[in-house]
Amino acid sequence: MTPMPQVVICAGGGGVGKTTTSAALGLYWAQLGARVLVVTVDPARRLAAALGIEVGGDIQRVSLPGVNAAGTLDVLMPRPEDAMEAFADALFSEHPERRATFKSNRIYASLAASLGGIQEFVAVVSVAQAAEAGYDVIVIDTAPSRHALDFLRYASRLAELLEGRAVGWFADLASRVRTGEPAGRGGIFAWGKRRVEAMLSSVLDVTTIEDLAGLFGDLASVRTGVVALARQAETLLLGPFSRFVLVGAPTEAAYDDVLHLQRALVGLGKEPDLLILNRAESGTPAWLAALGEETLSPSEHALLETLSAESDVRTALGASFAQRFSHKLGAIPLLRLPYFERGSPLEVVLDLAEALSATPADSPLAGWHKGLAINAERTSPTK
Amino acid sequence: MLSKSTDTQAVRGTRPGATAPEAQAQLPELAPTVLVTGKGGVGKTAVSAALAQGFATLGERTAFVCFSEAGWAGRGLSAEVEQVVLDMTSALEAMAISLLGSGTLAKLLVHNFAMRRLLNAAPALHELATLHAVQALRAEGWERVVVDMPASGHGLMWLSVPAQLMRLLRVGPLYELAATLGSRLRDPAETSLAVVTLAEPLVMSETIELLTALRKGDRIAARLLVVNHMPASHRLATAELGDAQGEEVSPGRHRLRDIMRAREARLDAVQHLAQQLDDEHVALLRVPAYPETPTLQQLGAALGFPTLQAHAAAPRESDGRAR
Repeated sequence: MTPMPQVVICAGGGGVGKTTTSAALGLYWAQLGARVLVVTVDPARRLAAALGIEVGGDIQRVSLPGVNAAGTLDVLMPRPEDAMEAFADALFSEHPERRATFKSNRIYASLAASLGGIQEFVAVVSVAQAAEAGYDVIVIDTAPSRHALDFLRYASRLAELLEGRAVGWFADLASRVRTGEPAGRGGIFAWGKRRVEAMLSSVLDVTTIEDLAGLFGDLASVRTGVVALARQAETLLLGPFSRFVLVGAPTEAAYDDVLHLQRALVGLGKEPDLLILNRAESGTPAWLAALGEETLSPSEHALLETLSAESDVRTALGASFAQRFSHKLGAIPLLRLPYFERGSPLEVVLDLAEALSATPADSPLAGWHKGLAINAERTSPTK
Repeated sequence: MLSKSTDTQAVRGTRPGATAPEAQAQLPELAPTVLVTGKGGVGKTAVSAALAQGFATLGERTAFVCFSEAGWAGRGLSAEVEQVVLDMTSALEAMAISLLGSGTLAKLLVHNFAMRRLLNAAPALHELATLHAVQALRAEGWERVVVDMPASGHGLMWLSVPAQLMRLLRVGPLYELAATLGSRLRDPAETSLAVVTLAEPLVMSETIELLTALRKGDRIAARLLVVNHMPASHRLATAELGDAQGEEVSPGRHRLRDIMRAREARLDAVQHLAQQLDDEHVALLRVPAYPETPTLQQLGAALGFPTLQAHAAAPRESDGRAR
């Protein structure tokens, strides 16, 4: 049996460098010899740009400097436009005949694009499949939003939606709307049901209700599969092998987002394992300080002054936000990383991975490395 | 109505040698309903709030609409701005009430166990309910309604919901509602769309795609593009970029020049986009990068509200500073 991989889920608000951080964590662990997969549910392009590769639907191997002989770095960027197809395929893999009816349903066709969470659901399926493929670490780069963690329970929500009673209710309604037959008599519940039905039929037309019932019927036929998938996903994402990294920056919006995500996580019965505070250096970067010794042209000097002033602001804000985070989040380890302004996103990823590897032995990530090394050992690298 | 913004838009803390961004365009005339969209992390909420604050200081009865999950606490908004925090369940209930004409029945429908599941799985109805709530505010007599829309990707989908529902339903009261809301959305005299973006390559290219998609089909056209966090220009003379002449350059200096080039490329990309948008009647406004979280007055001044430029020129340190 394939051992469970370490799943690392990165979440944070928009614009805090979450995708770059996910890529850098992946690279850092690959450099330590782990077999790593980075999956993004963010628009795929960001991860592709961060790693200097093209967007593609399948798992891709990335060659980057410093990756240890035993380690590998793979990425998976599910494309949103493929998500609906993949969603139907995942649900109806064992019922191809139902799949066709499902996909031709008018409601499915109209609402498919707007059904939230489909892309995330597909990412979960991909992660579940990848877990079988012998990775040591799977890093998941979530969507840049406060809803980022919703996808953790999407499979379960779908399973709840398909709970027999609701499906039966719609099917029953559809057949009665068609024949004009009233709902059964008896009691306050029947009264309530009749009222709801009457209202629904007054708001929607018969065909739409029938299509709804049909859609639910098709989904109900794969309920067992969905429930199994939901269980598997939850074990993987919320079980003992998952770790959560919240990514923030020293801004009010990012601060609020991190606290919101932390509460959401606690609501799911998990605690964040690490908070990464990006763009929060602990002093003027060495290269910038060294430039002070050089003879520069006036405009180079002006830019140096601007960069130094910006760095000073980040240092001060970094310290103040680090304090506010520690005050609010207490026991959660915090890692402050500097801002890297570079010509290309890939250079930033390389810089960040280097900064991660330079963290002292007592840094919050140090323990992880040890845990991962043990994990890697146990799964015996057969390359 | 609004004057060209003045030197108040200059970056605070700008170093010598840095030049202020190019002369600012005027804030265009916007419709009573202003929908503000953009990727997460671009400062969409702050720009929306600054717009609302700006309209309020012009004496308009202004409502600022945001979503309960957005976490915005109305920091820095003055008392003249009515802040409306929408939560989806009540928005759905309100829509159901207007469809069914009874609060009790609406609650029964929205909270019915099967309906609840359906509603949770079909966010299109949430979005329709939101548009309905915004419309209701206009009907209540608010002269200006500024909506901080949920971060796009989903932003686009939001705007096509009425048309989608109309295709789906074909007849009935819900169809009629979708049709009404959809036509309001497309009416440039009623609704303006503002898009917030950053002068960063990936964010910009996503914004250009958004604008292109908006032009197509039954969606509404953008009226305003706000480029937030514009870096100051540090254009070095070509002679100073002596790498090509075989000059020995230290790694640090090389890095410095890389940063300069990257920043200039970002400014050029914005300039290029501004020219493109000019032909399409989309106004582009640049908001400079502030070293710290800017106040709504500062943002409003950069967006061209003369009433706020007076404030921003003599800022009170405690005034609206988000802390």
